[in-house]
Amino acid sequence: MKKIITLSILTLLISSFTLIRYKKTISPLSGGIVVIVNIENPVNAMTAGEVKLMWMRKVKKRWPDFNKNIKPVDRKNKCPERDLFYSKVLNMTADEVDTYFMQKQYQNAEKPQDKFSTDADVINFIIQEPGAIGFVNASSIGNDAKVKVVLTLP
Amino acid sequence: MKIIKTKVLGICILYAIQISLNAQDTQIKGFFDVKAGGIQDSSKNATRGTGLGQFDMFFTSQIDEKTSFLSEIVFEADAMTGQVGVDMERAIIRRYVKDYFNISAGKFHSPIGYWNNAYHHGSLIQPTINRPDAVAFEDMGGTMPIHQVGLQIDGAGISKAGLYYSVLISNGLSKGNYNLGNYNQPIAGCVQIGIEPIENFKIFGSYYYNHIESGYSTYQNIVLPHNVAYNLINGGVALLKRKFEFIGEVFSTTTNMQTVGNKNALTAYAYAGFTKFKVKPYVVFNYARYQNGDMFFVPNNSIGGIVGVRYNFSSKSVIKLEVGNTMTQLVSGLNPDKLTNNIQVVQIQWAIGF
Repeated sequence: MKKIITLSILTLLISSFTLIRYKKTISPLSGGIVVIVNIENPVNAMTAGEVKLMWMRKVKKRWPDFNKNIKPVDRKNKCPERDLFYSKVLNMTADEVDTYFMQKQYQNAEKPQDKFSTDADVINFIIQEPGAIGFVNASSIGNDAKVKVVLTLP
Repeated sequence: MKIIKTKVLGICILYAIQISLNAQDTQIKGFFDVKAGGIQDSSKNATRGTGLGQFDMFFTSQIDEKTSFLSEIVFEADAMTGQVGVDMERAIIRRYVKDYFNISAGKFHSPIGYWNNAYHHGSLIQPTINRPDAVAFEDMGGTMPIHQVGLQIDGAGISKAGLYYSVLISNGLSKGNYNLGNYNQPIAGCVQIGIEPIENFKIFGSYYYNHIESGYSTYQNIVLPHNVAYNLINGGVALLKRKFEFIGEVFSTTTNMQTVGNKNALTAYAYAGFTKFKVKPYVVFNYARYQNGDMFFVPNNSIGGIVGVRYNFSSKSVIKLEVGNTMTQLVSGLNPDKLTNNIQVVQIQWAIGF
């Protein structure tokens, strides 16, 4: 009987340990997120503050030295990537971001951010749009990515 | 067969509209609100009921890389007649040149003050149920020239102080909002300059001048017997933080009319809001002071306050509840005591965006 109980406890411990490891492995934010721009964009690195200013089109509407409209790219639904970007870079809630872009559009006809459902869609859009800037899970960027990483957020 | 043809035609038209919308990146959005409440005016009987607010539709379109278009159309019931009217409130073609230099043409909200250009007709994004008295719309008893047709240049983000500016040359009051081809009348000029030294903190000032010709009927239905030189100076601050919001503005309007001379009207408001969880309590202070003998405005001095609370279900749905009290006094040669009113208002508004 004792053996059975010990065996069961051991099995439980091993399985929970494996589960934790497995969860860690598949966690969507295990490597954090990266902020990416089009490969033609001359910008190579940005601080979180600069990303916020550009992504929100706070002051500048076009990329300096690139002559393209800044096009912020967002995720359509709540996801860990979006949560991390909003909290660490923008320091805003999802409602605040929505309200901000709604007001910009209402005041100055400024187009709000483009929203996509998946990282792959975000990357594809940024590949096609020279002025686009967005964020994806770091693991979504392969070695042959046709986008440029300008900021990594662990 | 005829029904099928009509349906096919309808689908084709919808498809064509969809294609054109996609082609130019056109978006249609809007605001709508419903109000309920009661008014107790010491000079009249109490009234209460429910009503529709403004049905505000706005269209934005990115015409090309640097050119955009915005139009705002409001459907609104007249408070007196109940008839629904349609107003084109704004229609603007805008060309980006540099961050510090943009050119626009069309029908604008004049660049006077903060509230007027931050919230426009958007009941959802506006922190209170109605505009403060000092920035009320012309057809709601307001004193400020809000809707103007003309040309505007503006820019922002100049220097580390976050300097921004707007310059508007418009038809002016006596020409009205629609130019019928008569270009020989006086024009109006409006300048606004402000700074945003830290994020979401603005200090600004505006100036508006218009030479108004005799025969013009003011917003308050006063037909001017003489020409009027109209000068408006505005100053204010706006601080919009997550936990605390404050907007305060002062408007000083001086009208110079033959036989009457200079008359000054001073209007002001202050709004302060706080955030506690998802609930935002707020207060508004309204003030208006006119000089005796003013023939441009109905000289109805007033002082009042509102206490309110708003709750955001989401970024696109908000409910606001307000209790307000305003004392008004008509300034004239008559006995002012008999013309003093006390108006109490309780209102609730549900505003949405779509």
